[in-house]
Amino acid sequence: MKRFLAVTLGILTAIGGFVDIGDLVANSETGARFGMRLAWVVVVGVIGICLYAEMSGRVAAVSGRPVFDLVRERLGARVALANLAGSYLVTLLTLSAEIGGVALAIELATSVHYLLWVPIAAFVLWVVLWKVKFEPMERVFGLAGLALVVFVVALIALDPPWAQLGQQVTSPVPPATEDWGTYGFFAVALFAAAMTPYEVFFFSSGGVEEKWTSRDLAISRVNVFVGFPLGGVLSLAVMGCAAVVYEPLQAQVDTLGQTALPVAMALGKLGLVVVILGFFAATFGAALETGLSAGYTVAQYFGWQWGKLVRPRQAARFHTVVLISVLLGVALLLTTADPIAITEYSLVFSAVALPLTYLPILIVANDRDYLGDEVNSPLTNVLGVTYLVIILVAAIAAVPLMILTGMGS
Amino acid sequence: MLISLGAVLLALVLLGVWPTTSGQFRSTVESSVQDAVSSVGTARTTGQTALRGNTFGAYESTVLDDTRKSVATAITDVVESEVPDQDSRRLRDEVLPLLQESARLIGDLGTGLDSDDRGLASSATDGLAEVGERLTAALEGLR
Repeated sequence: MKRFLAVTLGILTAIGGFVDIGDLVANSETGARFGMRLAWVVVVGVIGICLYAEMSGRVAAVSGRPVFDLVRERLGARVALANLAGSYLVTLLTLSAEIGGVALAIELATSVHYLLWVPIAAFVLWVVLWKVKFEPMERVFGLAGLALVVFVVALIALDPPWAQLGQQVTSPVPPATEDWGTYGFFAVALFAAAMTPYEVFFFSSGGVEEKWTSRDLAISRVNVFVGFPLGGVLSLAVMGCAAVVYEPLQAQVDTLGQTALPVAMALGKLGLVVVILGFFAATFGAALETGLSAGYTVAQYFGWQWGKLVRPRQAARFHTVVLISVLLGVALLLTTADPIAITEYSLVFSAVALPLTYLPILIVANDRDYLGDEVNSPLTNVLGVTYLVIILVAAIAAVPLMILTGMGS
Repeated sequence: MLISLGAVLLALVLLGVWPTTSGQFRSTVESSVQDAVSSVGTARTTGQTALRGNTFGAYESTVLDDTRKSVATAITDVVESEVPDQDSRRLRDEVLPLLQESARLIGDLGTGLDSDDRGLASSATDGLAEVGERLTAALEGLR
């Protein structure tokens, strides 16, 4: 049991990274419009995030310090500031979307408009961030997020035409109803969703919060290689459910209610209750991750005391940044900006900010002063550089594709 | 610098007041019909699932409310667009009744499910299937 619970950090990070509000709707919309023709992007994303999360976890376990802390020390204040600016803004947008996602999940269960739930959800989020210790927080929300496994069960219960889905997986071209522009836009958005910057900052800071040392490298790797692929499988199941139900109807998906419908069709009321609980846990977990990541990056850049290992009074500036970030997220939602649209924009800007996040990690993971013999192997470096090229292509293509396709519409 | 700024502002003003072309009108109609196809398909599937007892009231209400708003926006977009020529007028007259019918049927489905009137909900679901087919045919014609 203890060994199982040791992977909850990876599960929470991966569920936040792969099936948060943006991914739930983006995967569903992709499934509805492209079937499984973009499934390969999820696989590429899972390998990429595993590669870089492993580096971040190794850096945290060996040096006892989180990645962002070392980025500033190793690359200087200016480079770290560019990294901070890019990742903080993306994290803030994502935090806002996640709070909206929590409210949308509650709306599905109550039919009370989500905007009325936003301040309540944000208050509860802040209380959890302030009061609850790191380990119970990651365990409760990481494990509750596993309720989304219901998508895998629903996909099997829907008895889909497996041969047709398999054929779509192996033919990575847009269907007749779409063009290469929208196909490219959704590919970049899905890739950015898998590689969102806050995941590596949260994962490495979480490792420090859990007091990982060199002896915990195995735990760090198990977290990476169990958590993230699990997130990828859930992503593909969401996509598959939408492909089976919505693609034949030529319907597009842009609400959380539509995302849940295939589960209700396959598994009835109980499935619907479980999926809504999963939505709540996944979005709340992602809101916790992004709220903490906002505080981690700013506090680590300025060298402040940070984290949940110390009392809030001892990390007052860290908690102030977290509180201000939550308030900014709520303020953005209360302008009535659509949480789903906020997520879509955050995914595009996330793609643009990706090189700022991942290049410094690759540099730090090759520094013997911090990692000694645990620096990257030549194979890891080859893969790391290959992924940096992919990340760069995605970053360059993101904004032009967004403009050309009108956000993929 | 001032001249460039003026040119950009002038371009923006011109873009705002430039008359709608038939291509732009067609694109607005296509986007509205696509939204209606999505909403009708979702509402119909929700209705069928609800009639089998596989959902609950709050969920049905939220999903149908979203679909109703989406169809209402689609109707508004078509109605508010300037009609540039005779062909566009014909297109509007072909599509608008389908959009209105969709809105009516989604409303009926919501009322039927809210008031536990299975007959009303069932006939609205059947109606949505039929109007969905006509909307899909219209969409394919527009592509």
